[in-house]
Amino acid sequence: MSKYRQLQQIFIDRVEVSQYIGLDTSILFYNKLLESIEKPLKMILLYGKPGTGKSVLINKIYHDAKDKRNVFLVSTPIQDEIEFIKKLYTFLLPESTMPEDISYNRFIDICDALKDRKHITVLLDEAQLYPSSMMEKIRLISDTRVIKFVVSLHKTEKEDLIAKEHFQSRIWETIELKNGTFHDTQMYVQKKLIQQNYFEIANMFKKSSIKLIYKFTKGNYREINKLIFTLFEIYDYYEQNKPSKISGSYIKDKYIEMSALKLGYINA
Amino acid sequence: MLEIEKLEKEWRRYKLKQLKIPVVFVSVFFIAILLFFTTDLFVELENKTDSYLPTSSDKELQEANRSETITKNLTKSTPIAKTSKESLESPAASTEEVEKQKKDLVTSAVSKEKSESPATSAKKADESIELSPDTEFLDSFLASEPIQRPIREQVFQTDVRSVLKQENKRVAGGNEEKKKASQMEENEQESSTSNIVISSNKTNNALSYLIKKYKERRDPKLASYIANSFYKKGKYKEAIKWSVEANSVDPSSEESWIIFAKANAKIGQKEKAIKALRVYLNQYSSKNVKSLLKSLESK
Repeated sequence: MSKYRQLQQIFIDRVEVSQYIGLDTSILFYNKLLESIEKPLKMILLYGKPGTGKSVLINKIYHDAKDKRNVFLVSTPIQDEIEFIKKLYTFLLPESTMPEDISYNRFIDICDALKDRKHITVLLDEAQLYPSSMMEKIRLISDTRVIKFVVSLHKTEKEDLIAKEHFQSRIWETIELKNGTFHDTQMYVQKKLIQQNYFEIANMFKKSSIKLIYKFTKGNYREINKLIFTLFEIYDYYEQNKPSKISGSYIKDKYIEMSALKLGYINA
Repeated sequence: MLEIEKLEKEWRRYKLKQLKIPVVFVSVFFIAILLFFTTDLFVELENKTDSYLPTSSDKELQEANRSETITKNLTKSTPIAKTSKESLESPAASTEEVEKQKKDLVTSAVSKEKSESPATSAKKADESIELSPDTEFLDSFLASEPIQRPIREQVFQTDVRSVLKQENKRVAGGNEEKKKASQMEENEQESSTSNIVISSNKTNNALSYLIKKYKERRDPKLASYIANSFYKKGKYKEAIKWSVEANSVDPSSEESWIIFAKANAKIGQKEKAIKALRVYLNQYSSKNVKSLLKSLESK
C-alpha cells in the first residue's frame, strides 16, 4: 500500500476510541460528561450537529468508565421494545438468568426492587432514531433511578424532544458539542497524523493549508476527515502518475481546493 | 476512483471565477475614482468660471461683505441700499431686476429734477450708452439752470461743463457756453433719463463687484471710491471716468473733483486739473482742493 493510501486510512470516518483526539474542547466535554455521570441525574442529554464528535465522545467515555462506573453503551438504536428491555436487563443483572416472560412492566418491577441497591449508566447513541414511544419508556425507566441514561442525539431532534413537556419536567444535564475552531482543526489534523507517526506529513500542513481546510469544513470533524481523505486520494494519484507535481514540502492549496470541488464544498 | 483531469479542469474554472470577482471589483473601483475626479475637475472648472461672477462663490461673498462694509462707511443707508442687499441675498436675481433698479435710480434722479423743471420729465428712454468723460452730469445742471439755481451755481456749472468738454475735445472753446447751454438744454432731457453702463474689463473681482454695486445703488461716494481705487492702481483714465460719474450724481462731492484733478495731472493734463479745481473753488470752499491747487500750481 502506498504512503498516501495508508494516510487515507487515518482519516476514514469511524466511531472508535482511537479516533478520539484530545483537543482542548473535546477534553472539556469529556470531563463535563464524566462529572454529569457522577451526579444523581435521571437523564443526560448530549447533543450537537452531525460530525461534532458525539459518538466518539460517548465511545471514549464508555471505554474509560465501563469498568469503574457500570457504564454501558447501546451504540445502535434497538427498535424493538422487548429486545431493548432484554439488553437493559443484561446490563443491570448480567449474572442472573433473564426471565422468559420479560416485558417492560416486569422490568420496571425489577428496577423498583433494585432501587438504592444498584445503579448503572446506559449510553444511548443516535437516540433520535428511537421511536417516541420507546423514548417515553426510557424516561419512565429513568424515574426508578436505577438506570441513568446518557442520550446522544442530533440538535434538531433534541429541540423536538425538549418541546415535549414530559421531557422538560425531567432533571436534565445538557451538553452541546460544537464544531471545532481553527485551532482545533489544526490540532485535530496534526495530532491524528502524529499519533500514527507521520511527523513529516503533519509538517506539510502549513497554517495556510489549515486555514483553507477550516474554511471549507467549518471545523466539522467529519468533514475534515472527508476532505483530508480525498486530499490523500489525489496525492496518491499524483504519486502514481505525476510525482513531480507533489514534490513540494507542503500541501498545495490547489489540491485542497480540488478536494473541496470533489466533495462539493465549492463549485467551479 | 477520482477523475483527476476533470477535477483539474474544474479547479481552473474555479480559479478563473475567483479572479473575476476582484478584477470586476478593482475595475469598478477605478472607474468610480475616474468618475469622481472628472466630475470634481468639472465642478472645479465651473467654480472657477463662476468665481468671475460676483455672487457665485464663497470667496466672492467674502469680497462682497468686505466691500459692503466699505460702502457702508462711505454712504448713509438709503432705500436703494436695501434693495441691493436683497439682491445679494438672492444671487440668482436676474439682470432685469438690476435694470429695474437702474431705471428707478435714474427716474428718482429725474424726479429730483422734475421738481426743478417739470418739462424735463417728458421723455424717458431706455437707451444705454457707454460712459466716457462727457458732460452728462453738467447737462442735468443746465436743465435746472433756468428754474431755481442761483447765478453763482450757473456759472460754476457752465465752467465745469466747458472744462470737461475741452477734455473730450468735443467743444473747441469756452466762449460759446451760452449757445451750447441752450443746445444742451435740448439734449439734457435725453441724457438725464438715459441709462449709463459702465464697463471695465481690467478690474479685479473686488472692483468689479463695487462697480456692480454702484450700478445698483448709484451712490456718488461709491463712484468716488471706485475712481480713487483706479487712481491708486495707476489707471488714471478710468479714474477720470469714475470721478466724472461721481460728479454727475453729486456735483458737490469734493473727492470726485480732487481725483479728477489728480488723475488729469498724472496724465499730463495739468491745466485741465487746475482749471477744474478753480471752478470748484469758485463754487465751494475746500481746504483740500486749495492745497491740491497750490501744489499743482507750484509744480
